[in-house]
Amino acid sequence: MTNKTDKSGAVLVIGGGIAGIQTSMDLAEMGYFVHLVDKNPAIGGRMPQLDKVFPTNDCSMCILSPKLNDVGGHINIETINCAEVLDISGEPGKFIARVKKNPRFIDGSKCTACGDCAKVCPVDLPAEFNENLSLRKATFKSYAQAYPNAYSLSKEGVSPCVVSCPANVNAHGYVALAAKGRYQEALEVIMDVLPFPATLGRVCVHPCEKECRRAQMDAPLAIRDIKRFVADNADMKAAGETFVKAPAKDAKVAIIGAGPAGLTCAYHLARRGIKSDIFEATKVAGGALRLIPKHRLDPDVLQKEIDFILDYSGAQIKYGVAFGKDFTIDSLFKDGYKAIFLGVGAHKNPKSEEEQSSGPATLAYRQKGAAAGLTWELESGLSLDKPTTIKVDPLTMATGRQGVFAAGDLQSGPKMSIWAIGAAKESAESIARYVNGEDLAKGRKPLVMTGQETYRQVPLNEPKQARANRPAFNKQTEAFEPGLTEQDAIKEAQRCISCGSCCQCYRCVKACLPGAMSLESHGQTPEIVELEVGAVVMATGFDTFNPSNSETYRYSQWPNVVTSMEYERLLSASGPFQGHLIRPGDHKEPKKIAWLQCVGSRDINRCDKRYCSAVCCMYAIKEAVISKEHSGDKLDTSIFYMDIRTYGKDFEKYYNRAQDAGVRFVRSRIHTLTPQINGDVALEYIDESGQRNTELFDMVVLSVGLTPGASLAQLANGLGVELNQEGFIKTSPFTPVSSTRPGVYACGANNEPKDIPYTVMEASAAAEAAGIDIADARFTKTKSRTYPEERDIKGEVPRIGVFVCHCGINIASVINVKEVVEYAKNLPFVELAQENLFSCSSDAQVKLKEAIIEHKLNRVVVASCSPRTHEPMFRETLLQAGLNKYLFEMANIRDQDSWVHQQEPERATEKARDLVRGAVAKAALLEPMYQTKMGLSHEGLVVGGGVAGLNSALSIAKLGFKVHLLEQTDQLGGNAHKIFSREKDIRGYVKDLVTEVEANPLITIYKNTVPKSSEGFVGNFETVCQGPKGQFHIKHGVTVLAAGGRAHEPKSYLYGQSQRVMLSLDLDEKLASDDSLIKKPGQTFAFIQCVESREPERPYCSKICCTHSIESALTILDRNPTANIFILYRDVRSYGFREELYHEARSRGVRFIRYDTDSKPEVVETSPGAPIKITVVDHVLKRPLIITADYLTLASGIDANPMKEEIVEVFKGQLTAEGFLLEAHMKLRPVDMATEGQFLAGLAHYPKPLEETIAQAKASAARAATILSKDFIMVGGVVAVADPEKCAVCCTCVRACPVSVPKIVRNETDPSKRGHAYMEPAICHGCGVCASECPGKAIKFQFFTDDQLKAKIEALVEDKRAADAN
Amino acid sequence: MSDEFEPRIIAFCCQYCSYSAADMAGSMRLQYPTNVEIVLIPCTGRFDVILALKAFESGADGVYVAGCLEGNCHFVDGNIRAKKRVAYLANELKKIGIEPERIAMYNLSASMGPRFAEIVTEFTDNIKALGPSPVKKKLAA
Repeated sequence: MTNKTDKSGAVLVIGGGIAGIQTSMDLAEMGYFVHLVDKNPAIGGRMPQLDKVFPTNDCSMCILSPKLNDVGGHINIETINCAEVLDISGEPGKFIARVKKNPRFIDGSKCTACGDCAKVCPVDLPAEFNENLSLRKATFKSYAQAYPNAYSLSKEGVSPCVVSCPANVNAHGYVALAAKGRYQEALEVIMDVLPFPATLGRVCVHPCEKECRRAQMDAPLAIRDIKRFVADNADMKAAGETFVKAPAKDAKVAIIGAGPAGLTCAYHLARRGIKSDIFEATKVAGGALRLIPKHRLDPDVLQKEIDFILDYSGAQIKYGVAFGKDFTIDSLFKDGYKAIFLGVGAHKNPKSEEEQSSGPATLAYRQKGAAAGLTWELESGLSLDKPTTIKVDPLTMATGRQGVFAAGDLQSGPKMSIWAIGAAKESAESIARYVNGEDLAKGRKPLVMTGQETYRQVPLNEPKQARANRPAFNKQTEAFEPGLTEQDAIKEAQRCISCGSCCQCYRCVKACLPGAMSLESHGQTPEIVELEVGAVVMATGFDTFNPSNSETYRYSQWPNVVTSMEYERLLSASGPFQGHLIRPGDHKEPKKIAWLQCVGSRDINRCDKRYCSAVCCMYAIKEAVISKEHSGDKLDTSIFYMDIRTYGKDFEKYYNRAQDAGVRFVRSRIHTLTPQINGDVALEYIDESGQRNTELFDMVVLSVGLTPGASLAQLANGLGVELNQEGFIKTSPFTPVSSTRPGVYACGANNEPKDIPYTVMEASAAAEAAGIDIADARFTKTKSRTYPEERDIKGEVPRIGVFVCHCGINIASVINVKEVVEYAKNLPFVELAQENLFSCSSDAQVKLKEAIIEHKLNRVVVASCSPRTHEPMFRETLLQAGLNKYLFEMANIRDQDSWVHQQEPERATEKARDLVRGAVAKAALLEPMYQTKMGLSHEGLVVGGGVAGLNSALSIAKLGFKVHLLEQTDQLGGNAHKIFSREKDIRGYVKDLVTEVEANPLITIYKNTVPKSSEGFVGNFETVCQGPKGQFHIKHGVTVLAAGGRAHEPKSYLYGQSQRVMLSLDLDEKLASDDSLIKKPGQTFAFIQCVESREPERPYCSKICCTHSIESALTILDRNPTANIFILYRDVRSYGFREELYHEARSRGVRFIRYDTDSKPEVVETSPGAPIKITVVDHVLKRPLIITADYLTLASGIDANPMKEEIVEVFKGQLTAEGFLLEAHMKLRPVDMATEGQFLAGLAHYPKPLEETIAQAKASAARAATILSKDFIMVGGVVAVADPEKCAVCCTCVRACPVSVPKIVRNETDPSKRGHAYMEPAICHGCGVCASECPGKAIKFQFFTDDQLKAKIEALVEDKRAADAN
Repeated sequence: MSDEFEPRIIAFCCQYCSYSAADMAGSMRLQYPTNVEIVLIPCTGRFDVILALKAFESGADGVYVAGCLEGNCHFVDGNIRAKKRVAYLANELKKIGIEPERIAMYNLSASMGPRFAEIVTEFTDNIKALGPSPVKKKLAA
């Protein structure tokens, strides 16, 4: 399509949770390009953390993970992880968004998610995914199914201990390794900088410890003592050998002074391939270190390190030669030294701190001074900046004279060895650069705190631990001060709080075979990119309320008080305890658990959260039910609540089932929690009878509310959108997914706390809104893939290529890959067998493609990881090589072999051979399969002309498609005409909506018209309609069912008998017409809620009635402040921000009186026309209360419009037991019907408020547009195909199919023959049930045919001896 | 390798739940016996009695089918149908003198990696206790 507009056809979606995923998928399928930005390293948001979801009890991960792969593999969705949106500029249709990409510190494109980096990483951090109930490594993948399937690294900056070390010795690194007992590797880390580990481990003045942030908790780490322990317990020589020396250079360097600086310089020069000679004025090496008292530094320890350095570097020391006397700088240059390093001791007067710290008795160690300093200047042209030091460049250590570098006391004044060593290391680098003719300064900068560090918070709540002390030194019996014991050293090292997260030990770099983890990746920096987009969708989700600051709940001090999110992880099989339900404090199985509702919700005393979080009642019930399933009925579960708000579809039934299952519900707010010594918690509460109770529980779960995301305010500021008073994104009821800034839309929990179905609904609605803005630019930014023509392999003998993967060492360290390759070569039809280091790498794809072409392969087997994650990628490569993508089979020899049989290499290899043999056997029987293009109608049919149908039709039209709108009456607008709202002008809204629909040229309205019959399938429906002028046909690609609902007409409470008793809509009529009766002073209005609702006959909550009655009550009070108002209720269900109205009503004197179903109010008319007498048992006083009401309003809830005839029979839709439309999946497909191409919206689905109806209608339009936007539909592939010859028309398949696909059709080739079963490939879901059920084996299920599976099975179990003989 | 009887077992796993759980057991590095080899099918509704018979005929000592948790089948009731077929086959095996325990049905969700490993161990132990399949002995004779 050509671009008819200057608008951008791309959309920015912020947040990769279920909302962002749904919006992105809908937009991409509608023809837009999506940039999906997520702040986390993996998309998925909160859903992956949930164990099960209500009310279906589906495993959350199971239903989400296919979506993750869909998004990840979508060519028109670019996921940008670890990124945040800074701001946007421009106008709707053309925004520029600035996105900050934070580093992942791993090259995600190379990462194979093998996890080898995590295996070697010594840093343990709390696993956020498990709500910090378990540990993860600094390099991590949040969860097994994460997309992108790649690791990332937590790095908060260089830890302060490293920055503060003058030589930048990586203290964090060696401490972390030491904590794991990995002393040898710890020593390598130390010796990367410091060739004196044992010496400095004894005498360093440890500036690192001054900066140690552990001090904020208790005391800084004994870093130096840990270093000493490591040095004393590991092998220097072996450590030295791990460093790769640069190739030997020609140049030789003269080092003056064999002190710590000179020797360090020699060491680092040697690593750079440069030899050196050392000139020392005295008779010994070691310089100032020789002056340290013996008991502190054993001279043998020092000598051992000096010997190592000399051995390692090959440097020779010339003793007894004095500078200025025996040689000069000039003479050294003349002797052929390419560069000179001055590492001479200080003048004798100023004392170094090492000496000072040794106390007065050990003063004046230094006999060797640099007294010659002054004469040097004269002699060699160096300049002095202080009387006894040489002026050098602080970065490069270069002196004023070319080729001369200086460090040590001479350069820095009398500091410590560690300063001298740092400077000497830098000098060595400079000298190497100087010798190589390179720029001395380029790319170097001193390591300093940048202020950008986001160091981990000091865990002040964790228990304090004493700093380890070295054993006391007994001068009488011991010659030397002792070091830490191993136990103490490890314990001490474990105190490290890993300020910078990653400790930069670079073990991961060594471990990473694909090269994803490298020194370069460790050095990644944030990058800001600009994206041009036409619209923006915010889907940033929520945070959970943090109860730490509330004293009442004892959360931060008491491990057996957990949040509901933590509890989800406790329940999860992938959680910290593998799903064994145990309490975190002592791993005891709880026998009695309490849930406390409304923690951080409906609470302005303990926190500032007035609103209801809308989901907590349901998730608490779910957690209680699932817990009972885990632990059997013996588990005692109690939910302490104020109102149970199970208002959604099937929620009330779930609540009822929970009660039947023995979950106890206690209406009370807990006022005190008292932890017990044995780990239990005592709850004190006052029950409904006013009785004070104390009850013990093993564990308490806080049902924490949902709060705006921590960074939402900042994002909103950057995007220029307003927040509401609760801190969520401000939207309005008639435009529920629009922010205050045009072109910026918002969906899901960042608008208001809400559950998953509603979130998914809004996500599709946001796709609609964004899509409409840039409808003209559809397909201007999208990409498509092109492939070479497929090779016809008909008649060819199978030529199979087998590719066996090493997966680095993931497979190869267990399985003998070479043996498997050799074995594969001899299997039938195998033309070629090869091994790959990483089969998924891009070069392996090139190799695979070339092999297919070169060897004329017509089948491919890859033995590597799981087809779940990698089959699409390999199929893509087959397509690129001109081979049908179904000629491919995988053998999962990693996830299901090498990883799970690590201790049994031989048998794992044997199993790998079996799996390859099975895959080859199936591959030989694979046939090319073709998906064919099928045209479609680009028009939509909407059934129902209420607010849902009108919005749906209008949105489809605005997205650019023709719509047919059927309305069975002669009026558009449905129920909305009858609703009165205090908050919003609904009647005005409907009037405008109808006008807009009527004026839209793409919409054809058919009033007084009903559908009579419908045929066809997605893209190609044909519906016969009955209108005033007779029957007519409509061809349409999609159908939206919006048949609406109606007020329930009750038989109770004198309805229809007394003029004073009415339904909510009748009262609305009075309020709308400004009935003067309302204003009569002193009148009494009563409302009865849940009339014939939430009872066995109608076991559902109508969701809107509580809010509506409260709103009506407030309207009456607005007009008649003297009115008395009573609301008789069972639970007040003013969920979300509606709680605000409830709060207002109570504060303005509306009296709420609770009743139970077993003591319903009694309503009598004392005499005809007289006020109504209502008797109700007051739940506080426990006494009958008599209310004489002038008007009684019955909140009777909503019934679905009868749909049996029009919907079920015509469109083959399914209904729930309550008569509402049944969606394809209650959680993740709340707008789709089970039949592809059919969608639903509004009250026909379930009672819902207007704003939700509007959102769902918009959503239905987006879902419809994902189909209407396509030029054709691809059909076929992995589907069932019936053989007309074999079919006996027994209709077994028709009954077995879960989605009613098979039909009996006429035999087109020979109409005289009997008909046969036919599965329309466009709608077959590909489960294969029919093929297995068919008694005549007339159905072939492609890619999993009987023959293919049997061949595979036979080959898998084939006796191995037989195979060997082959 | 010891001479201990090492059964050959075929597991039919559905792509949504049990195959995922098997992969998860892998990523968690849970160790289990090598005896089980998995055949991936789209849904356990695709499991067919003839496939299990083929396995026994080819020398398998045990066969099991692993589908989604009951009520959670992605195709409504594929796992329930599979369960019926497994029960039917167990009964038929019994009739011809083969222990019905050689065929079993399991249910698990995609997040139940540990359960997957447990099932492999449990079923392998069961088959080990039963000894080699009589079909195999017959064929060898």
